[in-house]
Amino acid sequence: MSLNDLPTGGSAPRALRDAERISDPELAFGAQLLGAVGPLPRSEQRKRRGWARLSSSSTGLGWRLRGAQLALAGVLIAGASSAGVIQYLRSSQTTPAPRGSAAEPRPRVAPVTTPAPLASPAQPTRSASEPAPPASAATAELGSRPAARGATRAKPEPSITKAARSEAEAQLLVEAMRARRSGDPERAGALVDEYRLKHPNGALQEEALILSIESAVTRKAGNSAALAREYLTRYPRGRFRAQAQRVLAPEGR
Amino acid sequence: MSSTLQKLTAESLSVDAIKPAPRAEGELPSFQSVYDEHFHDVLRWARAMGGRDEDLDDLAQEVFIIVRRKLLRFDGANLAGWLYRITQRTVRDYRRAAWFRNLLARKKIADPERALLKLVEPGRGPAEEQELREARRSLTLILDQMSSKQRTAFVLFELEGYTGEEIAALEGAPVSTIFTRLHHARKEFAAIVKRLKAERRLG
Repeated sequence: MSLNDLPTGGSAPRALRDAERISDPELAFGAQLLGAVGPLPRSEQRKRRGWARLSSSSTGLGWRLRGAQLALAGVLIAGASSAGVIQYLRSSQTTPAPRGSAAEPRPRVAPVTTPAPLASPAQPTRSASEPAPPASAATAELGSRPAARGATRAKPEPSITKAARSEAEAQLLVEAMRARRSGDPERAGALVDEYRLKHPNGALQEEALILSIESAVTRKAGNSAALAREYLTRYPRGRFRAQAQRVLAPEGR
Repeated sequence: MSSTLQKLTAESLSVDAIKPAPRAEGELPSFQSVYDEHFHDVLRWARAMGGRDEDLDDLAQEVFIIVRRKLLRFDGANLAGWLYRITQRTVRDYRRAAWFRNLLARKKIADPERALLKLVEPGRGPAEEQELREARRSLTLILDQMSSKQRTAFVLFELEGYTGEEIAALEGAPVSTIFTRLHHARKEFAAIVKRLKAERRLG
């Protein structure tokens, strides 16, 4: 058999594994591999195990839902990375333009419809030579603006603060994953711990916890089992439960 | 033992080979009978579609969770084709999510259950085990670079022993289309082997 003998449409071909002689060395190599690996063997034990798992499982969480969740996390992280780069580029400008000049780059915040009083006591006016604050400071300033107007309780602009918080949140985990990739589990663990402390109700708590477990396993830290138990308690149907269970498995045996 | 003999022996020993009583026209099969009849098929399809060996059980579970939910809405025609499409969608979603899962679980934690099963079911010596592992690794490396439809046709035909007609029935495509896919798949396979050998990534 050779590549030139291959069937096009209509004629039934013979499987490579059953061919007596194959002249093409690549196909011969392939036939050898296929013969060594062979078809998937039937296993009654596997089937029974699958049935038992299925009987005890009441979850309807499919790959689709998990995929959507993971894709969302991916988009969030990607967005945070690009926002971080923009922020870094902006903050790396050595000579900030004076506030009010035509060439001044405006901080990236949502427009405010009601202008704040210039001479408000909590909002001191800035001189023309004072450098413009970086985007994050501007965001924080905007968040506290209602207090400057004399309101007793500060009510942050939800869209801005929420987005900024998400970015900062994701940024920490992005850094942790970078450290992990570069083979620095100590730093990765520290960043994840920082995330967990700073954002106890963060949207990526589950991911942070599993990263924390992984970091503990890599560092052979003693708290990996405790963390895995915490994961299973907090997320009994979490998408990384299998990994958490594996961490605990040697204990039970 | 030749592969055909191996297959026949496996079939004769398996309860999967026992045919259930024929169903009346339009009658819905029970969930358990669907599971009993097609569990092994789902595993084979999932592998052909690009599921990793270590994930096949999880994939089969996902498929049968969907089957259990949707069985009442199944129209009763071409059960295998219906299951095949569910497997296709499940494996597609799994592959999409795989990059992120791999990112988080780059360093795989050993599965003690599987390790234990290996000890309980010996069968192969260390040298044979190593050889098989190497062959699997090489084959996965090649198959991962093939296009989805061609890889599926290739694995089902060349590895799992399906006929062109059987694959056509599952895919809902003419037999000639399957043979054409197979033709291109073999060409692609040979080209990938050649390239990987040139790059010294294959032994």
